[in-house]
Amino acid sequence: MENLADILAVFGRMHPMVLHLPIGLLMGLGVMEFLAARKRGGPAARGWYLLAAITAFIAAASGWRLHEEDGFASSITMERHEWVGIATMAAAVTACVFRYRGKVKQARWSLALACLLLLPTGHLGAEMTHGKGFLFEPLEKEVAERHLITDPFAAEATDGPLMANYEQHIAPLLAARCTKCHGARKVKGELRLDTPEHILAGGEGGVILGPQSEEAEIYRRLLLPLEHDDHMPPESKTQLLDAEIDLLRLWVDAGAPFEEDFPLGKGTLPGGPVQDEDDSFQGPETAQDPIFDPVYQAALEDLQAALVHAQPVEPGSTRLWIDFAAIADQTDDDRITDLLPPLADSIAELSLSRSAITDASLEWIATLPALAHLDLASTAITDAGLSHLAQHPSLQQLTLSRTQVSAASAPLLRELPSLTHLWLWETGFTAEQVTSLRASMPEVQIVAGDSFENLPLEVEPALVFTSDAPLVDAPPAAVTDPAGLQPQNTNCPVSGKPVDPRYTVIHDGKVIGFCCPNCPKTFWENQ
Amino acid sequence: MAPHDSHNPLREHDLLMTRRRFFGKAAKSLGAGFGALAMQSLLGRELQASASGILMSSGATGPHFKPKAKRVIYMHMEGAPSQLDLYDYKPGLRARFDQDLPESIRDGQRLTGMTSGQQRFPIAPSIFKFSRYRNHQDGLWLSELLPHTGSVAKELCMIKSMHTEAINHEPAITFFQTGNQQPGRPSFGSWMSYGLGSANANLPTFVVLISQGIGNMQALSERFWGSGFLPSEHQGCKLRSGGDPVLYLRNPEGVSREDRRRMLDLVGEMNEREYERSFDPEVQARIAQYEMAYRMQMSVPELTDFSDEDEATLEMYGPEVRTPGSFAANCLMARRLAERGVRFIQLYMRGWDAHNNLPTEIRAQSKAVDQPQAALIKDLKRRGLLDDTLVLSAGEFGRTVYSQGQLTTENYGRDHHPRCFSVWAAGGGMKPGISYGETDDFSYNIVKDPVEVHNLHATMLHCLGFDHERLGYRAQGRDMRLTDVEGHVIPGLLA
Repeated sequence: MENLADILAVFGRMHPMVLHLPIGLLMGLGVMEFLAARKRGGPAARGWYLLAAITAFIAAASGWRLHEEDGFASSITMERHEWVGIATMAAAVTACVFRYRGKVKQARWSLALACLLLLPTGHLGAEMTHGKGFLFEPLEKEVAERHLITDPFAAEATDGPLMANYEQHIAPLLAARCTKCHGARKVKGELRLDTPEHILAGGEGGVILGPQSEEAEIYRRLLLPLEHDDHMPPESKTQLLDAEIDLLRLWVDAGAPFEEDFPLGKGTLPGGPVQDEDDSFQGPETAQDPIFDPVYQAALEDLQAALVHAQPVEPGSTRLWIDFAAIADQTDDDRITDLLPPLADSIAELSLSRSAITDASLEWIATLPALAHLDLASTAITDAGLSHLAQHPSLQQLTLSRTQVSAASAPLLRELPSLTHLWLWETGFTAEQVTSLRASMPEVQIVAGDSFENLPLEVEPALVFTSDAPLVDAPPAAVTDPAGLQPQNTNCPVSGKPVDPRYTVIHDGKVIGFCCPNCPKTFWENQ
Repeated sequence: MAPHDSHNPLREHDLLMTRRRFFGKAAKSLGAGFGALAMQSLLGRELQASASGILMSSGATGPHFKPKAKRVIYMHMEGAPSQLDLYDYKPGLRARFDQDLPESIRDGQRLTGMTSGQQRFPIAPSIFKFSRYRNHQDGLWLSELLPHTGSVAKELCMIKSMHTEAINHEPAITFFQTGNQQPGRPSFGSWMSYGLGSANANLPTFVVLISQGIGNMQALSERFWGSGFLPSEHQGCKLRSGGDPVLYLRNPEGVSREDRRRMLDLVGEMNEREYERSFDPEVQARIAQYEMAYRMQMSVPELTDFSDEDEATLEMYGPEVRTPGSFAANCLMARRLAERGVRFIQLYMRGWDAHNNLPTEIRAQSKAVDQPQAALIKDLKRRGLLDDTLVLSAGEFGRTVYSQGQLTTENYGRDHHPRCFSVWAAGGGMKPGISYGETDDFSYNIVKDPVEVHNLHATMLHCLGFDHERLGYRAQGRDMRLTDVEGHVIPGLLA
């Protein structure tokens, strides 16, 4: 029984084959009857009508089943195809019934209706399989061959960075995509994009440029979802290509210059100069970007396979933080030279703490041009290895805790031009040597594990607990300091206990005493 | 006629798994085999544009901007320590011993069922002396219970104006861990596993360490470190203190590591087949978990073996460090985990729920915590790890200024108090050596710079490189966040 669903599914999938039978039969029968009717001849044999009705029914049923299978996303095309198809089937069956009852005229009209309905059914069905607009696609060459309105990459290759400018690249783009509605003739939203003055002036919503593209309305609206009311150009109009949107972004980010050129920057156009709407990737500049360099990619994959962590120091950056923590105990000099050289230009932060590297690695590490953070804590490196780092131009943070490094390296450390942080806990540096190093390089923060004070600045004197503080909620007339105002009663009016002269209130011109600071409140509440 | 077989769930799953749904599911587990391939071909350009996408480990979104902190050590003080006896110095209360809590201060706010029936709300000043330690402002007053913590006052970002919505432990802890009082959301650690990804493929990304308390303890649910609707690989992994640190990690008797490998290969092959059939990313997660467990068989013993720690370091963490599961041992473990690149290390210290006998209990609790937590900060600092490790110590709420039960000059209790409490952070981009926020003279209401839990979360996420409004995951029909629909970054807390 399990197979019933499967068999039905197969039946559904036979729809694309089965449907051709009623098309052929209905159309053939239609032509035959049309010719016969013109010559006032008799109707076609009943069997033809029966065959057409049966196949139409099978086609409709299998189509229904195919829809049930949920293999196709429901769409308006599908809904329409389904209902027009069912109407066709109904017309064919009706024709068959009339024919069997001998009502030739009605049978022929029903047949004509079925043939008529067949046209939209078939067309809609074909659009589902071949895609919308399939039929007339050859007539719409214009869409298929859309180019960038302006292509800054088309310029002759030069040595310098690629540049673009408003006159040649931005203005034509705006003219082609924006100024029909935001121009001299139509000024929607009080915005004109046809001259620099108007662009600077903005529209009814204020200025459209900004220091950063994300805040600039002229760019932000392009990125909104197509169906968003604020999206530009409106949904029904021709949209900008991704590369054109990028071009606008670069222009806005460059401060929206109208006179000067602005740079296209290395790798900033993610798709490169897109020639048409496919996402093919052919930028001449981006090829230099290490992200797209296969050797670089392979090196990253090798790192991953070796369980070494690599991550950009910030999103979108090619500068890497590489951390050997996961395999520290298996990380020796060979491993460094195996894995890292292809990435040399990109390494900004390198964590090698607890690894088995020696001074030999430092010779290579010292050549890393972008290195900013280097963690060598708990390794076997010594002054000899450290000497390779002399004058390293970009090194900012250096962790040497728990190494053999000693004060012999102090001159070298002092001369590191970019150094800001240095960790020297448990090195050969004595406390005095650390102090003198600190004195000689005050701008560098040196942590040697010695800077924790244990003694407090002051300690609270012995604690005394009283209830002396004035009550927060006592009525303003309350007098907490007797100062000569002796209570006129001896027992507390609330508790009946003897009066403590410190707690008194003035009521009706009389000084009334209480036993504790809580009773005046009760007293006032009871008044 | 409904044949039983048609109710086979796998079969129904097959039938329902249309192409669209498949890609939708696959997209959620970017990095998971076929899903990644499919997405790569669909979104080729986007992936190429952000190299970070390629580099982030499986499933991780990666930060939104340059992070200050790379990892978190979050010490949860379960049960809620008394801010009045540890951090929030109120010397004026010493002259209000046994006075009633003024109505204008309480202002009719709700109390728990444990004290709402009390006749009086007598003010219980702390019986502990406070001392002032040098920080980057005019000094930090700390209780005599925390002498070691005083020595790292320069590193602490003390927040005295935390407040929360919940008044009982379960919802309050759930709120602090997940940003919502109702169970079911992913915990902070899971969000960070999802956002940051692993930096050490040999260890879990999110590790949980538990210390039993000395004082009154509350239930500790495993769901506090659950991953909610995030893929299950992001849930916290509890490291146990006794026996096997990770349950079921060791090979059974008579099974060699080679046997294990062969078994995993076979199971992996079968799982691959299952994945090709069902496209369920959880199958991929399971394969990854098996492989991680296999590697952890080597990495965990190395991690939990303290024999490579020198005597001076052990001494710094205090005598308890040699007792597995103590807060001291777990602080040292936290440092070792941080050193090895684990992203989110969560310590639970139980036993702060001092409704009665607070002085005795808090004395013992503080003794267990003070030296280790100070040692952890010093140890991270001298190894160069404090700058990129965000340390947080927080309970789920505070405790009342009035005494629960009998008040004497030697003994008192304190009830739950969500309206203000003190937490502190250190390192990882939080401003060192400051106090933030103020409470009134009764440590009852906040009078300056309140910090709501979502705001602390948003601020911590900022340090970790995330815009809390963009770190989201679509579940139950909408985009979910750690800060839900609230929270803002508090600039005053940032270094």
